[in-house]
Amino acid sequence: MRERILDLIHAKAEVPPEELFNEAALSVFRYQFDHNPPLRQFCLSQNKTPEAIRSWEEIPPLPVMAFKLAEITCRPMNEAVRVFQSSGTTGREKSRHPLFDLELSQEAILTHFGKHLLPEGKRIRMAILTPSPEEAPAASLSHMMEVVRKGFGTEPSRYYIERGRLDAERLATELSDLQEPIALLGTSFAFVHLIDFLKERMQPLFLPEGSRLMDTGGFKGKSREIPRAQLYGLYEEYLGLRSDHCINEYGMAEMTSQFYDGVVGQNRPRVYIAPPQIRTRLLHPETLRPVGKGEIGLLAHYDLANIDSAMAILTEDLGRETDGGFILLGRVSGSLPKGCSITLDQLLQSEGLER
Amino acid sequence: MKGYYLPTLPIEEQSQERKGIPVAAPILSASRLVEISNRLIESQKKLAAESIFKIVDWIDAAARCWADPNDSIRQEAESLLPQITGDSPEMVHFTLDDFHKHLTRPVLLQFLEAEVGDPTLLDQFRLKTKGVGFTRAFGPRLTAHILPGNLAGTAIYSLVCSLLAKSASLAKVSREEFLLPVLFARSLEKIRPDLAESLAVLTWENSALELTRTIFQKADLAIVYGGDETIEILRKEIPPTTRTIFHGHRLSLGVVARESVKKEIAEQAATDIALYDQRGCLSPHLYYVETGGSASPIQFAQWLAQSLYVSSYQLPKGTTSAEEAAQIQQLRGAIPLKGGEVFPSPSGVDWTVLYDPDPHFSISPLARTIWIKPVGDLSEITGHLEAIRPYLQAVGVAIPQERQPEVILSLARMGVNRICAVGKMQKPPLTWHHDGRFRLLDLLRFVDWETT
Repeated sequence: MRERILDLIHAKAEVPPEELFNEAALSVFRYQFDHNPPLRQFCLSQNKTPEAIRSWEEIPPLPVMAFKLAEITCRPMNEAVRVFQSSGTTGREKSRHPLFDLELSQEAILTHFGKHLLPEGKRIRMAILTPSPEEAPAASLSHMMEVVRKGFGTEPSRYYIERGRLDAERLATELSDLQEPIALLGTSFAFVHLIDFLKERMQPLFLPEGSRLMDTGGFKGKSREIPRAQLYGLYEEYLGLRSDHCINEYGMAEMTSQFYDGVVGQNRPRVYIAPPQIRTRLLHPETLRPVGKGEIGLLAHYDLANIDSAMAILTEDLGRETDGGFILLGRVSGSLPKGCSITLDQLLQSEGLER
Repeated sequence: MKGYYLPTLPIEEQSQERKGIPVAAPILSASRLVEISNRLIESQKKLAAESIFKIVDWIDAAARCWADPNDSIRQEAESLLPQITGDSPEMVHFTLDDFHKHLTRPVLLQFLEAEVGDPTLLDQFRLKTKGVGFTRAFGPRLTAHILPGNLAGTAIYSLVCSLLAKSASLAKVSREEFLLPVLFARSLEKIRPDLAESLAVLTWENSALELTRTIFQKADLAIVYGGDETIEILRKEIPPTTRTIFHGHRLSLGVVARESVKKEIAEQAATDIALYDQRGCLSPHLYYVETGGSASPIQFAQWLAQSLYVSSYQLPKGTTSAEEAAQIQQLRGAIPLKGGEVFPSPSGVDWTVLYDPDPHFSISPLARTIWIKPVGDLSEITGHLEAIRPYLQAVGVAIPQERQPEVILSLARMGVNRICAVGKMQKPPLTWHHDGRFRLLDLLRFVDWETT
């Protein structure tokens, strides 16, 4: 089963043959159904068992909230090499997603990151605008950053958030003195802080040719919210990066694989394209039945790299299917309710590394 | 149709589409709002010279238009509101049938008495009952209202209180809930066009802070409805000389004692949940149900789900946003994994009862989603409300009389400002102390004339 998933991760085509994916998905589902009691309980409540399922699309996606309320794991939680946490909107509890297979996670992260951020296949210096994994061991984003730093970064690559603070001063100084291209990686709100700093100093930068940027995540009350188109304008103005060198990553603590909305240097419409080990379905928010092409739906991801937790998950994110992938229409998390009442998010401000 | 009310000044318009309906929206600028404010302040002189009883008669006459199903303004509301607000036609009908009942002469007079005692204090200096000399009440010349986007009824009561204070009103309404306040202003104009010149109902984007700032500068009093975030932003825009009343977001709940775990109570609870699809600050998020009675909290949850099924026919739900549905789906799938039980509508997300043994207060994603949480004893409840203390509004109770005083006192101490029977949560009297405050008295300024 593990080998099949690794084969899929390394598959050449973006979309592997249906049969390959289906077989792998069904065997992962069978394993998870047998070894993951809360997931089994959920599937039984939906009247779904491995015996009754022929196609991966029949596997019921587990709401991500389940990661907050139960231990979604096929192996004892205390044997996990990492447990990623995230808080969220609708509960006091933190989401807990265990990782047991470090190698599989590294393969999933590196293969796809490489294709989208480093199509030239060369190592690059990285400036990472997140805390290091030592400082934030429970942050899936810091884990991902460490994997790509080790996998693709050159020697001077480092983290620029320490004790919860972006060292914009140091970062700006180092960036203004570069001879080689750099990859800036971080959360969108960290970049907003960097740009605010550069703006205040009236110190726009012109990063060397070949430099690139990957941002991720929403704002969640961390800094002022900026529409994406405007953000790309700011990246160009203050960092000298054209928008075809700026890629957005979409991931979540409950998922092992990531999506990217483009390839560095390729000027084409932004679409999140699933790596070969993931399929995404769009479901009607009220009925959870598949929506037609072009209609708005909730995203349900089938990430086979989630081998020891839950492979099929229902997110709170809304999207729309377009050629070869989907576009994101905002993440429900943190949105204001219609009523004159409040979301728990407003009561308990979420912490930093949400994505 | 005109998406605003501005009787005296001609203004440039732009055509906008709101839910498929072409709406003429005003083109506003800060200087334009200064002009409008000045005109309102001028018109207010007429209102200030009018007797309070004439003003009561005026509002009463407008309310009678709304009571008449053949009235053209009411018909316009009935046909357009469902499309614009997303409420079901039945819900709109209920809203329209309800609000005017609170604006009749007897109700308004009772309200005036409850708030200011002697209503003629608004008309003339009266001998002080205690102390020396005379006193008289004056309203602000101009009140700026930032009205809520969730319930139009609240907006109307805010305007009515200003009229009773003889204050001109410049109201900013939301893009979704503009229609009822605009039509209400038009019904007032139909009766007394001269006095209606003291009203303006306008819309602009929340992000256009310079416009909001302008009206705060021109007004004596600002009444602001909104969430914590809105209040935090707008607070900075209000000059120190403008008095302010904030109505922040609020949370309400229900409490059912073990003796009252009955089917009838569940039926009444369903009314509280169904009305306005839980959009009001008086809408319950959760019921604490005491264990140890002849029926269990889980049985109550089942009865409630049945009753919500009935309500879905009597008072059908309006549109549910994708965001609301997304949150409901998460809860439906995940709550059973921590020992809870879900009683959902058979199709879609028409209603959801979430039984959860964890007694911590949980916030509902609304749209007819309700938590049922068991407690061993009613005395435990206030402990669970600590986290939401500043937001507490109403509690609907089904508690036997002899047990009430103790429970009610502890809820009151906790910060609750309205306690009523289950089933009555959405029907507060006009005399309810909204957010625990006087609604009219808080707007007034008293002038003392010491004659000796």
